[in-house]
Amino acid sequence: MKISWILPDREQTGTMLLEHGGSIESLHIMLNLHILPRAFILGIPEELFLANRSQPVFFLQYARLGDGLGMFAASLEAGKDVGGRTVVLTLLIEQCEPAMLKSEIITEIEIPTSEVRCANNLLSELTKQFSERTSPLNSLLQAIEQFPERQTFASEVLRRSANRPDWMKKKRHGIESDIG
Amino acid sequence: MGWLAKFVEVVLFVVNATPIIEKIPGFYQKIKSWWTGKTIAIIGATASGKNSMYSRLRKEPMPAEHIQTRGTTALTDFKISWPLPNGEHVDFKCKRSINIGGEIDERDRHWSQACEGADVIFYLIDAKKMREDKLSTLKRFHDDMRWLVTNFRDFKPSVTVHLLLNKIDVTLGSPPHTNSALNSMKKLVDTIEKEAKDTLDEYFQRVTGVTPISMSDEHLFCKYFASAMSTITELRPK
Repeated sequence: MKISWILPDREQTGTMLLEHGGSIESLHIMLNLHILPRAFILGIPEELFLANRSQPVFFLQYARLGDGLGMFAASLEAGKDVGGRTVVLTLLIEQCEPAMLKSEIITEIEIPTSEVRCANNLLSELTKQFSERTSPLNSLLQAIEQFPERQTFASEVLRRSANRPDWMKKKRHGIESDIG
Repeated sequence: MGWLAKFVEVVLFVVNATPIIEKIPGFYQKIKSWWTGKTIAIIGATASGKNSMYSRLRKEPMPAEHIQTRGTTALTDFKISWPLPNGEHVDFKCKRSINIGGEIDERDRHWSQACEGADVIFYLIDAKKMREDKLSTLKRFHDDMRWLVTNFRDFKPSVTVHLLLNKIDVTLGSPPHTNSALNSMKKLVDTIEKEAKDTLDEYFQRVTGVTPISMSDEHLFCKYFASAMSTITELRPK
């Protein structure tokens, strides 16, 4: 299991950075992008920001990548960049078995030095969602177990994505169901 | 005609409101005939104006909140009926258009999907960044041109690439433009052309040049976009 952070591109450099174990490198060099399904987004899709929202956008995903392992991502809205655009902080867990995704994992996560406040907010939200039975996180984890043939899972319905995840948490009249 | 001469001609056309393309008999018909039914894609580095260009083409208001695009957003197919200076309209379409992010990882993952099936690929360059941080902006431009070379084989064999130098109003100031601002833009266009020629090599013929544009000013956008369409019609590889 490898835990990293995709840092928000606050300076609009065009190169996303990955922080792992205190060192920072370019994301496109450090991460094998070719193994990722197109539906797995390294951040938050724009459509989730367009809904009326009172809370910062929080988005969870999982992708199976073979050999029982996969990649988990938790992304949180992280303020603005120099041009006033909304940017995102993402926690990435590579080589991750679904069974490893338990609240205890949070204690193993090192906070990125440049994004302490935002990373703490993200981990608080994860902790909260682990403890709520019907949270988007627990629904996603249940779906991963329930649908072993599906590859990609997301905590929100993505209607406008050109590459939709195989499973998305449906929110309608308070009822959760699989729409994949 | 080199890129620079065409670029200056277009800027002066907008400043002086001179309908230069009206001089050529039958040219509107040629534009209309070539563009009808064509499909476009829009690519470019981070914050170069891709979202705003789609909004302009769809005649939607500029977004109140700007968001870093990640992943692939499918746009509903839409038709564009673009007015020409003679009052006629050019009809073309954005079919299966995909809005994508401009970061390097997003380019490597999603740009080819956005360019599949396109007849014209518009590549946006941020003129403001080009002036303020020329070295890194040119490096990114160079890398993106290399990306094009690697991926051309997956695109339509007849695909045309056209460069749009965005934020021209911020860089040049509102028309009429000063000579010094225009001279500085001339140097930029020369540099861009040289870089594209060196990197694209045999594929350079696929690129029809660079046109100034402004996504933030509707009037300038309409004028410059009509010029880009005429330039593409005129200079596309036959």
